[in-house]
Amino acid sequence: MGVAVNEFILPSFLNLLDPLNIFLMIAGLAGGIVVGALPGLTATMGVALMVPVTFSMDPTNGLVMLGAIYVGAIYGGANSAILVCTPGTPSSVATTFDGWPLCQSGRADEGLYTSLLSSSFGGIIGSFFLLFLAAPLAEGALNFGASENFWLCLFGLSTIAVMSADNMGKGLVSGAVGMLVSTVGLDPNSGIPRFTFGIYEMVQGVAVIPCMIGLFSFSQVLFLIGSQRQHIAEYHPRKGTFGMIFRYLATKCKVVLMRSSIMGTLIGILPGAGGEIASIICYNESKRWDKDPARYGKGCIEGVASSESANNAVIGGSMIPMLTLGIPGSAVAAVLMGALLAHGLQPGFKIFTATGELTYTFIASQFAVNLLMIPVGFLLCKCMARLLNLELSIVAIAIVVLAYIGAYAISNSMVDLWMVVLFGVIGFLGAMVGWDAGAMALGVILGPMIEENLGSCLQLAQAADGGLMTVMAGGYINKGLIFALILSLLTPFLLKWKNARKNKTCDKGATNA
Amino acid sequence: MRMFKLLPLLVASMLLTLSVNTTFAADYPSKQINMIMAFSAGGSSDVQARIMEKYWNKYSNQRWTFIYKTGAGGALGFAEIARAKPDGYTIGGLNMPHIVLQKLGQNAQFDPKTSFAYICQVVNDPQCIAVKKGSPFKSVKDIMDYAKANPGKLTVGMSGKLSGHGLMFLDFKKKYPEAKFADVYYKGAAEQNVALLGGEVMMIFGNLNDVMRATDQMDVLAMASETRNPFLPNVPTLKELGYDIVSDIRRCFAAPAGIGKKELTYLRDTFRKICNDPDYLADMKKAGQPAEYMDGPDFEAYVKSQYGKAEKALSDAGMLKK
Amino acid sequence: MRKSTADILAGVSFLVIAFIFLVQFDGEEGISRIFPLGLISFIALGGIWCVAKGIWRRKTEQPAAFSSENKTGWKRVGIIAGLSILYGIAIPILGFFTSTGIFLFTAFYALNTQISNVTVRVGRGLTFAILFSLAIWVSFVKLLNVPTPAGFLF
Repeated sequence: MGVAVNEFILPSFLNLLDPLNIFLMIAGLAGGIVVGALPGLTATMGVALMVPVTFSMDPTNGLVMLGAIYVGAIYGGANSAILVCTPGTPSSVATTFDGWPLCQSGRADEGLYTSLLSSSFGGIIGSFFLLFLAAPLAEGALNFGASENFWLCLFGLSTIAVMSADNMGKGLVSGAVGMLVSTVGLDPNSGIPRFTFGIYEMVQGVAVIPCMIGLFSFSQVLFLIGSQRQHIAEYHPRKGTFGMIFRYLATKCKVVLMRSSIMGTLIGILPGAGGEIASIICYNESKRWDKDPARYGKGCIEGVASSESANNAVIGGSMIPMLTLGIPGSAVAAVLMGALLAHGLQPGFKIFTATGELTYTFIASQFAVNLLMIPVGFLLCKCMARLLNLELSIVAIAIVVLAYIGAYAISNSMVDLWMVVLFGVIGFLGAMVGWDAGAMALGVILGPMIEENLGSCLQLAQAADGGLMTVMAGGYINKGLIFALILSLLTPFLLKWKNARKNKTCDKGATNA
Repeated sequence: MRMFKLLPLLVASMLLTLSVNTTFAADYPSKQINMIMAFSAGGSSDVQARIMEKYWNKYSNQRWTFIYKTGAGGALGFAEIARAKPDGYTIGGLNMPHIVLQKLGQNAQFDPKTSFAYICQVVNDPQCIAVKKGSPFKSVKDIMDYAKANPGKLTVGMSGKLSGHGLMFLDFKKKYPEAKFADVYYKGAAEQNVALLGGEVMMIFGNLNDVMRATDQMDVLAMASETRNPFLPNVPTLKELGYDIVSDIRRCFAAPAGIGKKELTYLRDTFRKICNDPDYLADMKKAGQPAEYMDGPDFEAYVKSQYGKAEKALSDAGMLKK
Repeated sequence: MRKSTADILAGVSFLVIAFIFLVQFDGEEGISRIFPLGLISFIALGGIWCVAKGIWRRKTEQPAAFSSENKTGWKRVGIIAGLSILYGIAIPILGFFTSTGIFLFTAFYALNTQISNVTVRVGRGLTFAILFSLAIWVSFVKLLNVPTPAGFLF
């Protein structure tokens, strides 16, 4: 490490002072935040769109800019999640749980500043791991095989139980519907089309993003229009909110921020699990360990902080296996890896020595970008909050157009556009009878991963001596995950029991008095 | 008065520009060419096409517009190429054996034998047999001996059943039935590499482009190609070792069938010039893309021969879609 | 909506989904069979449970439990949903920007019934449609190069 510090780390931080790099970081951040905030355009698309632009640049400048877009877009998603309850990127779904109630109670500015500061904090923790612990963490990630991923996905799914404790039955069935919907298209194990309803184009399956745009953005349009309100929410910005939020986060949310950022980084390292899973899992862990879990979902700062710090921490984590092993930890990291390859850079442990200066400059830029994000994001979210002063019908109509563009642009397919409408209507009508859109989205995201990994486990079991049991339950990671899963499933009952006891003691206290 | 003198000049010049314009219009290409990519931006196919684009701009006065039509393992994008108007202004990248397997196994909406006018092959990415560094297997013979001694215990990681890897596995099974492997399928190369490096599977069939990124952690024992590859010159071919297996993924460019002869000749000539450009080859090497040029007619013959082979292999395995 | 009605409707909708996918299912083998069939059965059971719960709840529920705090403007929801569907149909025919402009204007006109002056309503609708289409075109097509659906017109 000592050699690396002298040889690469210090020069790389100096490289960042290059005015061109500073300009690219700010431009990338601003562009990323806008792309991320627009419902429909995701971080993956934002980075992918800019990859060709970097081909004409110096590789260092190009990567610094792409990294800035990635960070900006993941944070940007929170703005629309809080202001309109339509997550701009799938990783901001959990931000809507508490961000939207905050906005509805006229405290939109608190939500926006919380998301900005927590995103920046999460991003810095993620970059810290990337800089100092990349090699051991990448080795650790290799221990996550099919069975470990299977249990992790089930653990992710079990959060439905916590998420909708008072509506658990419908929540679980909604999750199952999501998973069933995700089976449309090519069977991951045999490669044969299924559930295509006679339409050939359906072999592409129900892609996660159009489904999410439908469930959250389009259905929100219907809800807003149906609410007969003039404006989305009342908005009373107050002076000193930023400082107040900063102090609150630095004192009351230390543990939540730290836990979510570390968990987010670790989940980011796993290939296949990205920000959308990390933010939901971290949100639920914050809720589970809170003294008063009932606050969550009603506009609680900790909820926004945990989801937003987690999804930005994923960024650093997802780059660890991408740089060290050539295995991207998220969809955006996969695009970034394509950019690396196109610039003639081969990922691998060598990348830290052979092209060390570039690699360390890129990592250093991640720190800088996360710090620069605070002023850039502050200005932009002030502008975006003006949205609340616009007439509701204008915002709603505009979201429809943006949702269509975003859905179509994913793969140039009208099928994706119709998916938005279909899931929008399902989400809207479903919400009336108690369907859980969050659980359904979780099912759509996790369904294919569960099925693929279960398939691999069954194939591995044919060769293993102890059969399926050894494959599924062997090793301490599997056992740990199974234990966490059981604990997670028991949580709602434990909470009920705790509440009941509390009420009892309260009653006793009342009678005694 | 002057007006009258000028008028014929004006008319003449207008006629001249018009005629120049018409000759330009007759010169293919006179506008941007749509390049349909069936895989997402930043993917391996896209990286290759972007390198190609750089040199296309050197030899042609018209640019490419990239259109990404992704999904269903590329089948939707390939179908889009087949359906496009054959005026020479829409071309795209195809992958072998994907196009053959999608037709045979998934009812894809194109026919590799008739839907495309192949321009040329640009990449031949052979399958490799790779094990983790420090594995007890030091050669293909070790693997075969182990598989014979412990039938069904040797796990092989592959990406996708209906894929180049799957075909290679069927070929192996048929030619060397005494060695019994346990086949494990993953979503893609990334997951497959994790499985090998994490010790979940003992060996993988991996494409050169994917395994050479991890040569400091993997040993490549053999390559299923006709000749040794300059990327890994010390790795023997399976043929050298006495196993008659050749299996690879190839990338080519194609126009929809029915394209005019002039347009096709132009495309084939330009692509040939690109593929012989030493700078292009250097860029391809830097990006880890095993370049191998094959001209259009030869590639078409290759597709047809592979179609027959794949059809037989799948029908023997009962995987043919009725 | 009464809680019992919500339960029954949710249950019925779950059953419908399970049924639709069951009809589409054509027997695969191995994991490809277990996973979807398992989900279908789970959803069907969940549906039955919801219906049963709804019926049981109805017996004990007071009809007065009917909550009317949030009235949904069904007509407005119908308008925006219908226009969005028409918009989707129009895109491949008219081209993306033509249909976007028309959609923006029509939706604005139809949803802003509180503006009684028709001239003002048309004027503001047109301004909104033109400005927003232009903004989309500049930012997406020119700046970001995002593909938009092609049609016969622009």
